[in-house]
Amino acid sequence: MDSLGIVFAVLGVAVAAFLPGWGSAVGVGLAGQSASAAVSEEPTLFSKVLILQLLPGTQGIYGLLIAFLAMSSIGLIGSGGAYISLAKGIAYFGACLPIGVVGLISAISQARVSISSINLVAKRPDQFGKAMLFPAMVETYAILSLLVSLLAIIGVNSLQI
Amino acid sequence: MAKLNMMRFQLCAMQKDRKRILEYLQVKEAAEAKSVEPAEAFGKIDVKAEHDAFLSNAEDIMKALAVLDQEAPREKPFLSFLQGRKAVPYSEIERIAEGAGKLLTSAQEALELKREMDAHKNEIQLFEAQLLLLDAWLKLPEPETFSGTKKTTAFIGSISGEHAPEGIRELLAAHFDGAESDRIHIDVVFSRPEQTNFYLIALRRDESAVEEALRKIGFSRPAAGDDDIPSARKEKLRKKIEDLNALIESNRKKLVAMAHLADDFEHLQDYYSMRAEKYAVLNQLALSKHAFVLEGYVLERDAQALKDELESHYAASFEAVPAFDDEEAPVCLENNSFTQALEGVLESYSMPGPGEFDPLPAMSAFYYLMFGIMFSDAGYGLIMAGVCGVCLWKFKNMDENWKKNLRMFFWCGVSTVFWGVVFSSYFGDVVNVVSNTFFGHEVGIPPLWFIPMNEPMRMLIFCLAIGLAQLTFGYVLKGARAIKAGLPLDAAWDAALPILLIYPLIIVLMGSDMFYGLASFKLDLSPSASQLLLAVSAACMIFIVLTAGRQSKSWFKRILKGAYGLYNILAGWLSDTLSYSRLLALGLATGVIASIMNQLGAMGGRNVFGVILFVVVFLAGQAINFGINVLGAYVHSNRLEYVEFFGKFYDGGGRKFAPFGVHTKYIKIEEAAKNG
Repeated sequence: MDSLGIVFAVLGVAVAAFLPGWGSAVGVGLAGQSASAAVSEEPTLFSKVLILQLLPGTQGIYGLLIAFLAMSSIGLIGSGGAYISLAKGIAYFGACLPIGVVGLISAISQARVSISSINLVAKRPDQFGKAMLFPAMVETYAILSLLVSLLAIIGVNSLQI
Repeated sequence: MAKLNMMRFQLCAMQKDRKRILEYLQVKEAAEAKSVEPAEAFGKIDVKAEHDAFLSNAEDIMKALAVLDQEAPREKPFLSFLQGRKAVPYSEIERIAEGAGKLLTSAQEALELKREMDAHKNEIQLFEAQLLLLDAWLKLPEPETFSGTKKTTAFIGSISGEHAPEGIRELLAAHFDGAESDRIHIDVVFSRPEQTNFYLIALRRDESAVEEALRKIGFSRPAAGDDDIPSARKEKLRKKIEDLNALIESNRKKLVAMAHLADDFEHLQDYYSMRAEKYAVLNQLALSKHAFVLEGYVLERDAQALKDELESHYAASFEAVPAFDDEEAPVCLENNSFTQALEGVLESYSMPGPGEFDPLPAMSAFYYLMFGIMFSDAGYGLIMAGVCGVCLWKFKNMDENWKKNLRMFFWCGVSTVFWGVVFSSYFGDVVNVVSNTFFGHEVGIPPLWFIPMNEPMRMLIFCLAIGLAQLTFGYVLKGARAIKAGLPLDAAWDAALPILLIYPLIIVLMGSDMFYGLASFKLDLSPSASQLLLAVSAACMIFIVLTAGRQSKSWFKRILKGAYGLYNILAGWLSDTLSYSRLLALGLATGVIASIMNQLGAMGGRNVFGVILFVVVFLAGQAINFGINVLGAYVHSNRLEYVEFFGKFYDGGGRKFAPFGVHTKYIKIEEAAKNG
């Protein structure tokens, strides 16, 4: 029973990697369609719409970051293989949840904003600064959850349970 | 170092000097024209048609250039887009102007040649499609339209499915009532699973019976065909394609022979855009029979020189007055290169509106600082600063916007190196990983201050402190703006009160046990000191409730609005400050991903294969991480400036000074180059 600790911890790793990765894949895909449409009209917009397309992609990276951090904390990569108690395993799982769930949802909503921003830039290329700002507003929440997951994992590492 | 003083000018001069004066102003690039309302005896001319014609000529030339570059590519040096425009004397413009008509004809010729080539290519495609269809009939010894002889009748066509002659005969036999199937001859010319092509010869007297049977098994005649046998037709099509290819080749040769015109085309395109720009100004003049009036804006520092020059050379009057209270006056900012590099970032938001000061000096220090903390890797910073620095040094003539952007990233890179050293991040932990994996004992570079990964709370508090500093600075600027506008009370209520409200609270917080839990240190406050601080803060809150709604007449409304204002200020301090936690998150993201890449690379162990694996993973991984994080640091530095910082004091809404000048792509006039 007590060996379930590592199972929960790995579940946490999976959640951190696959939920935001899923969201970003959907998001970058959606934004990419709009981006190609904009470039087909005006090829010089390429670099601008590329940045807008990539914005919903960061959640996947944040998720990867937490997943790697968790894996290296529980000894799946690098040195280690230390024993993880059930309580600690569940704590790692919990620590991975914020970036997992918020990463998924924020990537998709950010993609919607990115699409609108791409349309904005297609009509008014001079408004790129503002267009970039709208998706960045959504990203705030992904960053906040990344922060919580990050601090939580670092915190759990030093827990004596 | 700030917003430059703008003046409104009115220039009155003689019609006979008009061309030369406008050309002089264009080369000087010092005055922005605005439309003049014509007074009595003055009228306007409409040169929109000419203006559009110049633009469309410029576009033709641009297309012709693209054609030439496609057919006869010119050697372009590496990073040629950074080289900037070539400076030429004004006489070059005159030389191009003389030959403009001939050059334009050549350009149109080039476009026509290209159009023909495209048409030929389309035709070839059509013929190739026909050839493909024809392959299925090549073995047919007669034309597809052959219907038979006097005694026999021929059916040429296809049915679906793959069949041998015997199979077709059997299919047909099912539909004959007599011995017709013995009196027909079938030859298959093409047979594939999807379709069989064949010809069938029958006696004239069986014609209707055979036709009926064929109809029943789904026989259809070929769509194309003429009186030639297919193999002859194939030869003809081949010949046509050959001829077309020869035509295309000959057009290509003609285009290659025109390649030497490419440079002249570039100059001509610029000449036409210059003319178009001049005609746009012509539209805004007021003209009488002998005189014309031009109005617009000019920088104060250029006004006198312009006046002297114009009035001494021409019968002209040039009057300029300060444009302080002109709402429509454009804005021109000037700062040292460190600060001015951020103009693009500011412009993406908005140029300062009337009555606002230049926010660039205020935002620049924080911008570089925050970018550095988010990117925070000495290796990455060195690459960024190095690449930008070398480009700036090698291409001194580059376009102004490029120069600004590269300067911005140069300083961002410098800041990144600084913070990388402070937090000990060199491509993540490459020094530790390499020394440990390949040399057997771990060596690390100690941080100048601390390693954020090991002490994240300390880093978080540091980031929030930076946020608090920038936000406070924002309130101070808001107060300064109010004082400048002659409203010192507004400065007290809207800027001083929020600052006085929050700092006592922060000091009390820093004395609490909760703060000790986070930061492992706390201020030693006596209870009476805490109470005094809380009282100051409470007094500020009361004042804010009383003053934040002061626009409303009724006291009831005023208090309600005041309470809402207080809520906004408190919520603003909290959420805006917390927003700076992204400095920590993105900073750690850079370092952690870089370290993960190193760790992955080191998995091969201490052998030749391990070294190769490490080099490959290191290069690819660090490149990806560099790209992702430079994007993140740029976007979020902008966001913190735009939302958190500008939200406190800056509205924008100004328009950038756009003087009438030479806005070209390839060349610039030497004289203008000297001026600016």
